[in-house]
Amino acid sequence: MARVTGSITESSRRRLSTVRAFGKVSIRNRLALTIVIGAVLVTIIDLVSGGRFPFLSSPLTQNLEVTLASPTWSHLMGTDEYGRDILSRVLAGAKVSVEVTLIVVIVGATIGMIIGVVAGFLGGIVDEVLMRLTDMFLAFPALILAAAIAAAIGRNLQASVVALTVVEWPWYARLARAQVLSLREQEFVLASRTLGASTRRLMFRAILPNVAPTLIIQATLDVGYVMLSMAGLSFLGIGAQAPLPEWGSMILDALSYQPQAWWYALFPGLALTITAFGFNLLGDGLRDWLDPTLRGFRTDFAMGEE
Amino acid sequence: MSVSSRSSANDLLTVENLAVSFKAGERRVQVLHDVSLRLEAGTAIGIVGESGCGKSVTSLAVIGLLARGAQVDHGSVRFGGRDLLALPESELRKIRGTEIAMIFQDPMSSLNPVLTIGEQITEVIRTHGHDSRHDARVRAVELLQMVGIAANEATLRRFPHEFSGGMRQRVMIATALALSPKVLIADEPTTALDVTIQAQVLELMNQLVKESGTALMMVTHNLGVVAGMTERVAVMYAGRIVEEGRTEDLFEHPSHPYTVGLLHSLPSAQRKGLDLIPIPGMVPIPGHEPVGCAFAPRCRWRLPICWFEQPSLGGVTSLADDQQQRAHRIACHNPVLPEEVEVGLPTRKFPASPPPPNMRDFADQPEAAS
Repeated sequence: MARVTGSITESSRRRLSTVRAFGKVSIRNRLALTIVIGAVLVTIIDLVSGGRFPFLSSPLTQNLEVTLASPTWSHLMGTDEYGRDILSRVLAGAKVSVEVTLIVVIVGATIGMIIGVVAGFLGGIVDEVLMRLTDMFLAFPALILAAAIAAAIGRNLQASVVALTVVEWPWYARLARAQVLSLREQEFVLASRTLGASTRRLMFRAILPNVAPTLIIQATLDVGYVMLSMAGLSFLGIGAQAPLPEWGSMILDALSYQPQAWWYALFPGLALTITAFGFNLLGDGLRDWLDPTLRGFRTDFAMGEE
Repeated sequence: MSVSSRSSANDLLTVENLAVSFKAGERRVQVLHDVSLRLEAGTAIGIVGESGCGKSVTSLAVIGLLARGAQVDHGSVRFGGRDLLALPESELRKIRGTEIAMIFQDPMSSLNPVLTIGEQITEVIRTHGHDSRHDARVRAVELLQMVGIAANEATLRRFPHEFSGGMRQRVMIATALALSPKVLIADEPTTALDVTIQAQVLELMNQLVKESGTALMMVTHNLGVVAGMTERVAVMYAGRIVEEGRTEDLFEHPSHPYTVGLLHSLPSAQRKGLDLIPIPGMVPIPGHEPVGCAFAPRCRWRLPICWFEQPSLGGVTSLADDQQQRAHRIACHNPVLPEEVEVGLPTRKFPASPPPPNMRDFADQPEAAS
């Protein structure tokens, strides 16, 4: 009987410590989590409900009787020039922005990381060729290059995804290569070579896991930038096309009605800012979590114990 | 050469006339000159010298991992009947870890910081063997216990930063010995550790090497480390072996001024109260050695000939026994006499031998021998 009680206490103590561990997550990280979870939730609801949010009119439904109405109880963020509910469009826009941004960042970072690691690790002519190619892309102002590419291959959402990816990867290639150059000289790389590791194994087991945290953090910090670039492209009329709700193009449309219809530009702008901010905070949190040396020491461990 | 005539069937690893050069801008700088060593199965050899003497280059050349820009100019490294220098990289890779393994000086940086120690040990086991993941983990725990870490499954999930320096070095040793190599090269394995931990790690290595019959090549600048652990010692200076012999012989009758200098640079309880006699100056930069003996600018025993003629490695003539002479070789024009060893300074009178006019830039001059 006593043993049973003991094990219950033990397990509840463990559960308690998990709760306490969550409580220790810094306020910054909790804020980041809230925003990111919010953005993901909005995307999921949007996907599940087929673009229509509960209790709101569809983001595409026009109501010409209430065009450019200021915020009221029935339209919390007001309406646009076609009488569409702005709250509904802001929420639907989250899906477009988050989706596009994540695709661009993930694909861009992966391509960049592979190119950077290969260039840095193999060195010589491979490095030279890959890095000059990278420099070519970096030589253009990113947004202008993206705008040119998007305009050239078709003024739609897919084109702007491709265009943004093309201007994203060189930054990751540069960063990864720089990391590899310093990692390559570390003793543990030589040590694993003396133990018979192949070049491929060195790249993927010794180098890549050490490069990845930096790039992942860079990627989360980049989310905000890409999201703003995407909005920028849409703002220029090259990205998302009407009537698709997208924050950047909403701000573009709102421009003609400023300063009277302040709600029209304000809410998409706020949504953009808050989401970008949330991903930046997430980057900070990820850095703390990904670095094993910052995950905390386990002091219960010493020689001769256990 | 003399080495091949003396090599025996017991030799596991034979390095012969190894010369290595590095690319320095447009020209090549030779950093190893005709280094010859032999290591018998189950024995230990110490390679001693200051930093920059070519000890690490020798050990990396043996395992085929010289840095970029380095090349072997001539010589051979024979291991188990094969010349390692002639083998393709893929064959060498099979030998590394399984037949020849290496541990390094700095335990802080020689483990991968982002992989758990379990991953790092099992990876070595699984790279070469065909063990299942589970078998490899069981073996990893055994290995950690063998090196004196009270290990269990949970220990394998820990990261290197959770271990102290001494324990990381134990992990390194466990990893290196995972596949029971025939040769273990230890490059200054205890330099970065506290003395108490040094003693523990040395004792552990000594014991493991004896138990498993692994031959040990101990690279160090510490003669004290070598004294207790090795059968033979080679003292290196400026990329050459300057004195080589059985450990007892070398400590009893050190004959090269550099070896004597190293011994007198080491504080010891026996010589309590006596002054340390440091070797003046520094190891020459490769490519800027004098024409003759590289040690001449720092040598208290130098003769005029030392500036012009490179001494060759040969038997110690001051030793009575012919066999003893052959087992103990030095490269010196003016060996230290047995009665001078204790004093650490020459007691004879030599002709003054300042650097010749064209070599005035060798500024490190010991006080004139008188």
